[in-house]
Amino acid sequence: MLKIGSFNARLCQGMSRRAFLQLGAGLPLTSAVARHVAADETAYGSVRAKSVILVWLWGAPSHLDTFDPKPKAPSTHHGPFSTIATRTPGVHFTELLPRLAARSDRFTLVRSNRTTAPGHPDAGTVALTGAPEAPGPVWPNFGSIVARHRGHGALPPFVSIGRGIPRDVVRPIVGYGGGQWGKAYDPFLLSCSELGQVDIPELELIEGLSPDRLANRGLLLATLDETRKRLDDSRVLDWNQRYQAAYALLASPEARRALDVSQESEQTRSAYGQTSFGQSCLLARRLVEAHVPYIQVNWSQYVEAMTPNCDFGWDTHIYNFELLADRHGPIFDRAFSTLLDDLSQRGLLESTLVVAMGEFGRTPKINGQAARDHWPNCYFSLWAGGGVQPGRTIGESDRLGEEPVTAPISPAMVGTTICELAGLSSQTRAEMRALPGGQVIHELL
Amino acid sequence: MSCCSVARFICSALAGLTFAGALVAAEPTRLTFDGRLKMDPVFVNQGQDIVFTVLETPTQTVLNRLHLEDGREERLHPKATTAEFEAAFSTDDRYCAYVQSRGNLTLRLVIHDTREGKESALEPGGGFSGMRHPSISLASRRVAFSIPGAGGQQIVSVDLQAEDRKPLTEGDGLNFWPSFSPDGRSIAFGSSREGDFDIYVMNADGSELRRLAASPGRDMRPSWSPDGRRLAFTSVRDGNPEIYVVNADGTGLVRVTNHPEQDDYSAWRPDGRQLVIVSERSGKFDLYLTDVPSS
Repeated sequence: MLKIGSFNARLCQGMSRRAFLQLGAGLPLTSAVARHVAADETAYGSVRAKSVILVWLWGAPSHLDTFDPKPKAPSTHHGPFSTIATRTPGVHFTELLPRLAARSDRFTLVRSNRTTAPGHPDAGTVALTGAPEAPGPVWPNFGSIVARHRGHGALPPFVSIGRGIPRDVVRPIVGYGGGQWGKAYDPFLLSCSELGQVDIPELELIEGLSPDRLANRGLLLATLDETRKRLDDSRVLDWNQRYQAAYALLASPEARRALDVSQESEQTRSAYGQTSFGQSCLLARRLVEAHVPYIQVNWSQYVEAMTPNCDFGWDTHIYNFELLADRHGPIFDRAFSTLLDDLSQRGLLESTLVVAMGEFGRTPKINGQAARDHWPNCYFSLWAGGGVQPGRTIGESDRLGEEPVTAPISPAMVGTTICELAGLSSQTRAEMRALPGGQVIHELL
Repeated sequence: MSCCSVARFICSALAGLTFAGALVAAEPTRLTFDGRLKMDPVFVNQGQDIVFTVLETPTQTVLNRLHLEDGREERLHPKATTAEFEAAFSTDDRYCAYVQSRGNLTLRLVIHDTREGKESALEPGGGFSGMRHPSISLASRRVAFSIPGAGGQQIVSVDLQAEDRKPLTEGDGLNFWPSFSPDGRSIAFGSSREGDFDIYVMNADGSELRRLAASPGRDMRPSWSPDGRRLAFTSVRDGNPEIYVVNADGTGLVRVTNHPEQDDYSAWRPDGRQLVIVSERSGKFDLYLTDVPSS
């Protein structure tokens, strides 16, 4: 089911394919340009990752309670979870992640990430761009860099799946999109419900949009005129561009097919779990099949619902251990395991880089609320496919999980490695003025 | 499946299980069919209804009431606009305690006297804070709950007007999921005081603590049987959450469920023969009724 603005329409029902195509033909579709995968030669050869999926664990998961447990730390630190063995000799996760423990040979774990910013929006910008937002200008998101290099296809080259732009109480992440390159390089936003219903927020501005109006050019133009009148001048140009991208997407059979999660078998959809995050991961896999170069899946407020009107994600300042045990752990374990299995079974994992990370870790010492706060000094990331050598653990934290004892992995190194595997050589990055001076995490490759 | 057929299904299943007894464990009976994320079911109305938490929209959990007679489902609080969860009831259904989101990671405990229409609330302190897991004892006229406190997460009780606060646990460790025994004299709960979560029982004033069930992996969410002789709880001892039942003296451990997906959140039917649980099947979360085997 694809939700178009304010109504639901099962694809190919209630509206003829011909009507879609007629409407699409009159629009200046940038998607008519065929996408190419650049034959850029990087230090590690040609393109390893035709697509990248960044699973963005917004809110920052606790590293001690997931992938870097410290069972020998004092009770003030280690938390209540047991550890379990993984398929990687000598490596243990907490009991919250049994499926991923059984698949540790499919991915590589980095336990020595470190960032500089302690708050969500600023750390989010660092994590997604490789540079702090101040003093500016804001660097482009890694996805914007890959998208600019690859160009437009039938689908937008950088798609972000979630409930809008990740934000905390105060503000959204500034570095979620094109930054100094402009809004043209922002991600195309989609959301996906727990039932696999895909929503295109760009079209929600159009009140009264219905299948009948989409199928009737006169009615559609009248609707658009009405919408434009409601927007001030500064927003009209931006809205026009984004609307066209959204509409172009609807006009493309390939794009509509990619967004229709209901085409998946019940078995496949169930495997990901009936959660928004699970179905978003499934949608990401479909976008990989449709050759989208960069997909960011945002862990969002839908697993929490404790705090209205705010997107806390993994930000477990209270009830960290309960939330992780009851919701975050099982949901992530199931969906991410299935994503790796699914990509692998379809022969896509080798050409798809999958990275999972948050913006930082959480305090190794349990706080006064019996939970954990922000900890930028040490956290984890998961890497699979796309040229990454799986089944290993890179980097090590100290006995309390407070600091890396090996060379820290910075957000700029994360971005540089993603871009390198996506086919952007150091020369290309330099020409684009992207991630200057960034280093590849050679141990991953 | 239509509402009527769901109702017929539930009624026939209930009738069959009532007469069949516990000699042959039947397959769990599915009570809900939407697969949405569910938690914390409890029987009310003498076992005719079940109140549970469900993720109704991406941003709101609500308390729903399922009528077993006809399969109808409705909101317990139709006008609720903020997240509510973890409802507990007194055995006469007069008092209902639940957790309500007050905003930015702050949770309040509401105690509702449904007969008088009065609400008492325990408000969180400043900053991120809040209470969880209320349990009501009509016998002792107290409400126990879990709240962050010195050294960890502690069990505290208040009276039915949310006053006269008394700490019941202390020291390091996380203490969750208090559950009053039917006579109000004991409280079962989960605690990490000796490592991972195990099940403990203490007197209602916090004295005479003893460990009831322990295993590698989490043991959590204890629930007393209506006769006070047994407790159901969730354990991850075999690698994923399953329901177990144990005698109140710690003997006679019996495994109730056995499925590679999650079985969790058990609550006893008033006749003591069945549990309502939340089971994950094919990635979907629904309420199921399951027989309780003999010890």
